[in-house]
Amino acid sequence: MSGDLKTQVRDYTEFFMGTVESIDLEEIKERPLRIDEGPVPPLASPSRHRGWLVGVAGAAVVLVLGLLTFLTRQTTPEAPAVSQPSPSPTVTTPGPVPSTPIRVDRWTGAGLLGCEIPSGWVQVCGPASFDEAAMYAVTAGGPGLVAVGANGLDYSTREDDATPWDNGANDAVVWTSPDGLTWTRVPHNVVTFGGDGGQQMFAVTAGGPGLVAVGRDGAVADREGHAAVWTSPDGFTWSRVPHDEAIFGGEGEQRMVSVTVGGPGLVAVGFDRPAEVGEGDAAVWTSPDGFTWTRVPHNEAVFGGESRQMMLSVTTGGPGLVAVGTDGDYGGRPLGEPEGDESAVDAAVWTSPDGFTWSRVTHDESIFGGPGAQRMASVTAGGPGLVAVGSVTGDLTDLHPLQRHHFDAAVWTSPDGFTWSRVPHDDAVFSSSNESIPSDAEEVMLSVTAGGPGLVAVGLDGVDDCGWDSAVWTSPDGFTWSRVPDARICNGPYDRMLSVTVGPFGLVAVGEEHYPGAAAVWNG
Amino acid sequence: MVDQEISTDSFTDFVRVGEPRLRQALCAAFGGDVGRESASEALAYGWEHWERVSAMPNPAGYLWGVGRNHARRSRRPRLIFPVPPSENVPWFEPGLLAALAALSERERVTVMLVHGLEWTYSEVAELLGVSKSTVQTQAKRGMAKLRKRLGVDDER
Repeated sequence: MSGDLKTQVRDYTEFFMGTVESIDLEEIKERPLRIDEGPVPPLASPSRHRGWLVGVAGAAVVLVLGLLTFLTRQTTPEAPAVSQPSPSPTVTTPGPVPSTPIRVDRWTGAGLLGCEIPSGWVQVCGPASFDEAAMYAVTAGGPGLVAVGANGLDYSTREDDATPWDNGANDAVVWTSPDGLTWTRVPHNVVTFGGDGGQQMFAVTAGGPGLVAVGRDGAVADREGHAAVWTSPDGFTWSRVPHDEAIFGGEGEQRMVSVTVGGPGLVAVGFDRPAEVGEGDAAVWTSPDGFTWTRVPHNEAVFGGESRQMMLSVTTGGPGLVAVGTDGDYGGRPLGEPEGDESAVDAAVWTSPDGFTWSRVTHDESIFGGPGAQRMASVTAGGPGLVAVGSVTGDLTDLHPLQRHHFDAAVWTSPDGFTWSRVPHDDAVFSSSNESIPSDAEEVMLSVTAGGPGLVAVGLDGVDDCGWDSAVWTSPDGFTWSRVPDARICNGPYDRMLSVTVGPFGLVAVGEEHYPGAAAVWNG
Repeated sequence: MVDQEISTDSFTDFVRVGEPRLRQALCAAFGGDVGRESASEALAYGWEHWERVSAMPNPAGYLWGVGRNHARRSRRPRLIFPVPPSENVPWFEPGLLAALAALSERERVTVMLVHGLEWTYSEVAELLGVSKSTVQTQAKRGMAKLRKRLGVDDER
């Protein structure tokens, strides 16, 4: 005799939970540590936890680093950071070269202990204002720097799809900094940053009344969200542009994921996805001032096509504006996850003279396609004209589905936005150091900017047995790239750099730590 | 030494109540293997950072987030619920296990905790860090999806 459905759920849940062994204190205290190499003795008490061990080791590293930094900047105050040769004359650096010595006391704060970072970079980690949040983007502006993101223990990214993870608790968050080292979170205001469903700022630029941020508003799981825009005169005071369903909304979900000054004033790009998994089109919005927005009418030949098209980044350059992203879908699942169809995804480029009229660069399989998936995540003016960075999976057909989480970093260049070339693959620069776990062998570029020696890209690198860590690449010209070395030891917290810019005193990257989940900032 | 003992006692008390809650919620969300592994990882994290975690207004809720993030990064096979031996348990609708697995993470957690383990809405809301009304909505929506998928109409 069957019970009603609730009774069946109760009976099954009781059975299921009965199959899972409870966790006792000894198991908790003796659990192998993730952030140190080699065996670690059992934990005896909170006072002997691994943070203390890492802290001691990290203190020595940071003291040396801080001393070196101090000495370098004191003796050559006009020189750029140690890791940054003079900017190439062929590249325009959108910000001043570092000229003011940074106070050494900030570089040796307790928050720096234990952070494993690319050589020449210093991570600002630990402030309470970073807790339970992620920084998706950073720009020079306002009091110096402005970063945007979202709060909540949620690591869904701007192009995340088909993940029913809970975004309803997210609110948009803004941080400001005068120098990249000291960060302040703009006080939460539910009217501006919150509301029903989740709110996330994915990108920010200096423009309009001062600063303009773009993102999304609404529930992800139900695909009911719409694009959203915020403005600020100074980085401290923010206003939400009132929602207009005809511009920011529509059927399904709309997201703005990148914004730049250009065209009539401002241009934002993103995508529009209906309720059907695996479908969607690229989308563009324009504004003269940051307050009044217009959606560029849909043109199926340019923004659409089979399955799904996404614009992920836009910049001024080429004929006026250039956007990059992807064409294709992973079978309705996140890239790299089991059962995804990576072979159906190619990189894609769009150009526009004015922000209103767009063209799709003709697909060339040898440049934008190939075996596996190709994704352009970020584009900037620099190098020979334009440089786009992202990731490629290579041919995964012989791998077990569970080993498909395999990415190599990739770079494309163009003199004009119309003609593109792929920088030849170099294992030493673009492939993960993780060889023991093929399923975690990932090295991904997520953001690029003109700066440092010419161009700087940031992202993540898979590290043996601990997920990934932040990664930085540099190039003098867009064609020749080097990976900034790091200790490549297990750090544990799944750091990744999501955005990089040139700040008042040098390079600044922002991102997140997933373990347990906090915003993160690096200064280079 | 006294502080250490107090801290250890405090953590032991927390585990006594919090361990089953975390384990059950994470297992409902991610299955038995990943859920238990993630609960263990979250509790180990709590032990290491107990001074900070214990000062939080909702330590269990915070560790739920830690465990959830760990589980999402585990890249294990898709969630599969174990099939009970037919001789020992009541009859189930064919497809119940697949239907549970097909719910969204939050719907599944809510349905299994509320209807499976008879947690109150408030208890679920506190652990997940959401409002009580959200839990009610998710539980209702989850049950509706189960009924629709299984073709069951047992609401009276």
